Amino acid sequence: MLVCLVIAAVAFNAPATWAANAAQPKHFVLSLVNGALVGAPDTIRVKQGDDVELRWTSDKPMELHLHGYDIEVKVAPAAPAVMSFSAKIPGRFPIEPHGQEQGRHRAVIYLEVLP
Amino acid sequence: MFVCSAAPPVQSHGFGQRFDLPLPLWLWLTGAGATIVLTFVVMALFVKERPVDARYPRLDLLHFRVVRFVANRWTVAITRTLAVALFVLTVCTGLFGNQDPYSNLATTMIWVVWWVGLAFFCALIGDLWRLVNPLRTIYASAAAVYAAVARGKTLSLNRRYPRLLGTWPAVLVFLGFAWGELVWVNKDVPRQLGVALALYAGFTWLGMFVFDPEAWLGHGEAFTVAFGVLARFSPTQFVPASGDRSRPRLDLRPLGAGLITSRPVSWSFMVFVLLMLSTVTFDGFQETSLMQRVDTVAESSHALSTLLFDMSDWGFDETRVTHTFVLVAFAVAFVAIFWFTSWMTLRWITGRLRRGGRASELTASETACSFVLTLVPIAVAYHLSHYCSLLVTAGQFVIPLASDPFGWSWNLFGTAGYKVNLAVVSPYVFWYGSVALIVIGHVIAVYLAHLAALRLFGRHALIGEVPMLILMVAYTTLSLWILAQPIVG
Repeated sequence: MLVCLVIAAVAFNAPATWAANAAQPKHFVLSLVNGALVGAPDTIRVKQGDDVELRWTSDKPMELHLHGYDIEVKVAPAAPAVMSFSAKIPGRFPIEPHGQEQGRHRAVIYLEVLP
Repeated sequence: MFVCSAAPPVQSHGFGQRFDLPLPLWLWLTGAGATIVLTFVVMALFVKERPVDARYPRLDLLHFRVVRFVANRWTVAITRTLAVALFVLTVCTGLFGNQDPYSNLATTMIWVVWWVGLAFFCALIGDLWRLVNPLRTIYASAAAVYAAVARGKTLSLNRRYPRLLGTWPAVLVFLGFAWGELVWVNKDVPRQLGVALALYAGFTWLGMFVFDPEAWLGHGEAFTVAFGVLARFSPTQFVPASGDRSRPRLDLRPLGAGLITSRPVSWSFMVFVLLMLSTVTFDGFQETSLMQRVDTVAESSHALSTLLFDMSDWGFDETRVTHTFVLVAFAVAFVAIFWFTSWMTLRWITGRLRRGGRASELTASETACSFVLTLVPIAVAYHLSHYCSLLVTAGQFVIPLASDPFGWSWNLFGTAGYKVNLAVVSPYVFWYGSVALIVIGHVIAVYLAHLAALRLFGRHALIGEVPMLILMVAYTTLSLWILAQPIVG
């Protein structure tokens, strides 16, 4: 009985893992309220090679910087911004708003690109 | 391969940022498990064997003509001159060059090439700092000129270095340096780095002037002491020519052999080693979410926040104050925990020694000072794992900076447009490499602890070393845990 459960669990997970091996488009919609993310986890995980698109909306004008990939976008209430790139570099990259003082932990979200 | 711009926007932050992925859970648990298992395995090997001799095999590399040819006086002189030139260039670029941390040689030179790169070299190959320390070379040159001009007089008051002073000056300097490296907000500002370098040079030369220069370097110059500790782990040792030996030796020895001592080290040196270990660990701990939680708790506690608010009037940022406090707390905790372990060891073993007819005159001090160096391999392994990716990625900045050290849009060697490649090391290499390094470091530490226990406790070594081994397992597990934490802040 236990063996059947284990096999079933593996079988259900397997297709998802296989599909993830090929480069996949990954889209995320991220809303900022007062400089902080709502309704999203601390970290987004994608696989190396995926095509990633991050759509940002914000209730205040802000500049966001994705470290490592060095992508910057300006987002404003009337103008949502998009970060679109191919996740070629593996690692854990913070997305930080510009203009804050040094030394404060201020990443809005982390992007983890797994190998 | 994707590349990242070598000159990000002017309001650059986070020079020296690492983008390492945390160790997967299964990997760090496996590493911790392997640590415990191997500790028992190594101990079991010792049960059957006769007491191991603390002498270790050495091979004099200078025996070989090739080595003598390469490592001759001219190579040494050229290397020293190069080090002095780099030092002067770093101070100048810091003071006068472009103040963007990525465009100025000073930031990369100090935080990547010197502090990380040289530490790697000293731990894995040999004590290069002892050889090329530019402050020493400059002082020696000035002394030679003075002697020539002033007919043989030495450029030093040559006051006897007080034994009680020990390595305490180095302890204080190193604490200040660790604060600068880990907490100071302006550590990436080239001008401030240039000023700090110049001030430290002045301070060192003052010490060398007042006391015997070599005595000051060995006790008061924090980096000679620090790189010296790391170099004890390395497989080479330079033994200068002395009275009964006309030729110097360059010995090849087993990794970690230099950490074996026949006598306990001094109290101040023990504190220095523990300070080094605690700052290496704090370096990693500072980036974990646990540290962030400490920050939040500090900010939300009423008593603390009033204190911090008052301090912010004086220009201190709240998180910097909290981090300074935790840095010092780590150092104090390391000394306290190590002292406690030594005391436990003594309590554990004294009964047995008396029953075996051995008079025990050991003190907790002596025990602590005999065992402290055996922890170094674990710290070295963690330091290498923590900084390897930084060395490989930020180290690439040397290429464009060589052509444009001041950030004035020069292009001396044509490499000014080089873009750093962040994808050069696969996370798998980093993950498996880190765990392997830390487990190997742990095994070396366990072996060294056994040798120290043999010297102190004779045939009760296996029992006597148990508290130390428990401490080592805890320290190694902590190091692995830190590597498994996602980097925040």
